[in-house]
Amino acid sequence: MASTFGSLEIAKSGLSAGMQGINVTAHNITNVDTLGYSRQRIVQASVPPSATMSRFTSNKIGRVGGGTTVVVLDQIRSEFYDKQYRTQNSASTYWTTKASALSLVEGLFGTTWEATMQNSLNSFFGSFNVLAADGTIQEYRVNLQQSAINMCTNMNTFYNELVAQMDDLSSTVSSWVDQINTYAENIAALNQAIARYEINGQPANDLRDQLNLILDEMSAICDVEYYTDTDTGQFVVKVAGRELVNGSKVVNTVSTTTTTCSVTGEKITLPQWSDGREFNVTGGELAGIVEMLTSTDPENPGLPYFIDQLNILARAIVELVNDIHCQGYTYPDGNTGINFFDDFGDISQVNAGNICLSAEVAEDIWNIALSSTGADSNGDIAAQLYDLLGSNDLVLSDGTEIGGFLSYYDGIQAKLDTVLNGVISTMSTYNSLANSMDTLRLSISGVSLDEEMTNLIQYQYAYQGASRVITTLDEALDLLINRMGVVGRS
Amino acid sequence: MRVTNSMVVNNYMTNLNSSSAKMNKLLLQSVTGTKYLNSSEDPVSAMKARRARATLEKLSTYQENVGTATDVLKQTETVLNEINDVLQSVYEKTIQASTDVLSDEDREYIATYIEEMRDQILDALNSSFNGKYMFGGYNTNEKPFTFDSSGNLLYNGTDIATMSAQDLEDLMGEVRSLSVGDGVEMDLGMNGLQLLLLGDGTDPSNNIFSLLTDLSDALNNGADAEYISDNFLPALEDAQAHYRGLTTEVGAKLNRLEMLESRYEIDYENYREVLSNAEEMDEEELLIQYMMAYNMYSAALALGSYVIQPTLMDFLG
Repeated sequence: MASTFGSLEIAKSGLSAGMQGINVTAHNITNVDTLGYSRQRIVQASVPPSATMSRFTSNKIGRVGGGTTVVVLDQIRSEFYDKQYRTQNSASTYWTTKASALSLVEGLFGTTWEATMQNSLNSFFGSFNVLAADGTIQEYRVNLQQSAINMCTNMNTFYNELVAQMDDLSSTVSSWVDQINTYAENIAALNQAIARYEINGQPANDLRDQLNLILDEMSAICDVEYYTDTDTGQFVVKVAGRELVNGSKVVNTVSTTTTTCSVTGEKITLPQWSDGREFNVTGGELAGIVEMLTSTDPENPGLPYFIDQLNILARAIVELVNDIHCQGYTYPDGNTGINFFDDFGDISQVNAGNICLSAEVAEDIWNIALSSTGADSNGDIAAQLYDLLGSNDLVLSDGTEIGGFLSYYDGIQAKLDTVLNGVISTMSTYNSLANSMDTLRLSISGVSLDEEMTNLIQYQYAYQGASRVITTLDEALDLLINRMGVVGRS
Repeated sequence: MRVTNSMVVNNYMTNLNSSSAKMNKLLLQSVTGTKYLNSSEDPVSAMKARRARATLEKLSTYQENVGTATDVLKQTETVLNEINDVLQSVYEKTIQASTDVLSDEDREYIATYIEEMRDQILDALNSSFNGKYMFGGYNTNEKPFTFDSSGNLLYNGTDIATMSAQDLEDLMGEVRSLSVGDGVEMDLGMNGLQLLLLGDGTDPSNNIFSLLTDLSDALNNGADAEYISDNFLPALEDAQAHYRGLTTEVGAKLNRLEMLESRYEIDYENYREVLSNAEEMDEEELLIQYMMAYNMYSAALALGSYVIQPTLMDFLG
């Protein structure tokens, strides 16, 4: 037979389970907007009757159990979706970084309705045309000189902006690297805290949420892998294919290295493992930055590719214009062999960043040599220079085939447009994939207020029910203790 | 699928954003009048537009050159007409002079007239256009035809009489030109020596200046009527034919320029249309699209107030 007060114990377990349910529901509701929070729930189990054989076991009826108990406070999360989300998120930020860097280049090329570079090329060569009939008209010479300066300035600005863009990207590398190292320390600390907390078998839900949030954020910076080592039971995080954290230890750290860009000769900062090994990042913002800073591959162009193309164009303009201009004669002095653009003594020294007029031409418009027949009004050289704009088989002395200036320029821009177009559409694909993975995750681990309200009511009634049981027991005990055996007394 | 609050809100926000981004894009399209704001949105159209723009640029250069060439040639035509008129009156006076009824005084008077006419022709050869001498070949800044102290006729500072046939041929080749089409060069007028020299242009002494000088000298020196009509009338007729020939040549060039001009106008319109098709937005279509996007956006906003708010809490006592 059950002990006198045993039933009270059963009801009490109901009260405490109900209260715990209410508490968990409250915890869920208050974290409905918390980033990275996954909903928690209590797992209840009924307490089986004591299995101890008793000497006084008297009846043959089965024994009633001991009420309820909260076995575990669990969190609901899908590791599969977590992993999927992080993979897509790495890809999404990688493409977003590329898209934003290339969009800046596109902005420099000129928006469609004011094609600045194309215009300045056209107007530079166009200024030769009006001098073709008579090379001695002063205002046309001034106009030519100014439009040449304008074209050079345009190219210089373009070049400098691209270099500045590389510089900006380069300077963010170290802050991303610092961020990775900070995350690594946080993960190690969390791993330790989780291990300490979970030693008694209860999951460290809120700490795990924090860990997961860090992994989410890390996946935006670089490619992340993680697993629990089956031998040691330690949680391992790998970035860029190499172990970063193992359990409570930061195994490797990331630092930066400075190299020289092969195209611009400027210093660029790239990530590197602290022990000098190459940091082969393949996803996230950092991968996008590294690619934009280094790639000269025309199939997958980074900023150096476009700078290089621009340099070739600048070199082509300087070389081909100078070749013809050197054969011309100035008016009225009849000097010849003058360069139109400065070639710095060696044509390979010319790039889009330093293209400028030669000292002679910059100093005096009458040093522009437009006549093919000595000091007179003949504008043959101007005509030949104007014809350069239309020719389509230009080849440089180093064998580079330019085609035509306009078609070469058009080629650069068309390349950028198609690449950027592809990058943007890939970016939106990965963005929406990452979004839908996030939605799937939320559908599992997100807090639904409706559900919590329903649970709240459920727990409330469970609590009320258990209280009612106690009241009932109270009345029964009152009857037993105070009113039994009152025969003859009142 | 479980639907949770953050899911609903996230989805709603994402879609609301994309709605408003679409509206913003349409708005910018309408403000700029272009189909795309960045050429990467439509690389093919952008390339078409760039090529059309380059062609338009080239066409307008050619149009400009055709205009310049037309102006210069019209001026040349005027000068040639002037020379033709002058020669016509010289011819008439010479016919008068080739009768015996005229007194010596009358002949001297005619001689003086012819000298004036000769100077007028030289003035015409020194005419300028926009401050530049037209008939000096590659020299546009100095008067091409001048005299030295002993009265010899100089071309760009060199005595014409001393020039060899080769010199003359080289110098006559000096005609300034402009390109008026792909590989099409148009001479700007003609060289002054072409206008001065008569015959096949190889003999420096056979020129309009010395012909008229000889004529007036002959008249002043009392040459008889028969001499004048035999020697000068045929020469003057040849000279007139020479200048008529030149006038026809200029006229033909002007015709060609006129044809080029109208062709370029048509080409220009065509490429304008190519450009417009490649990058300009149809306003009506844009307006309709904008209205649709606007309606979608307002519907989304209106729905949002229903979607986001209610939970079970709203209905619990």
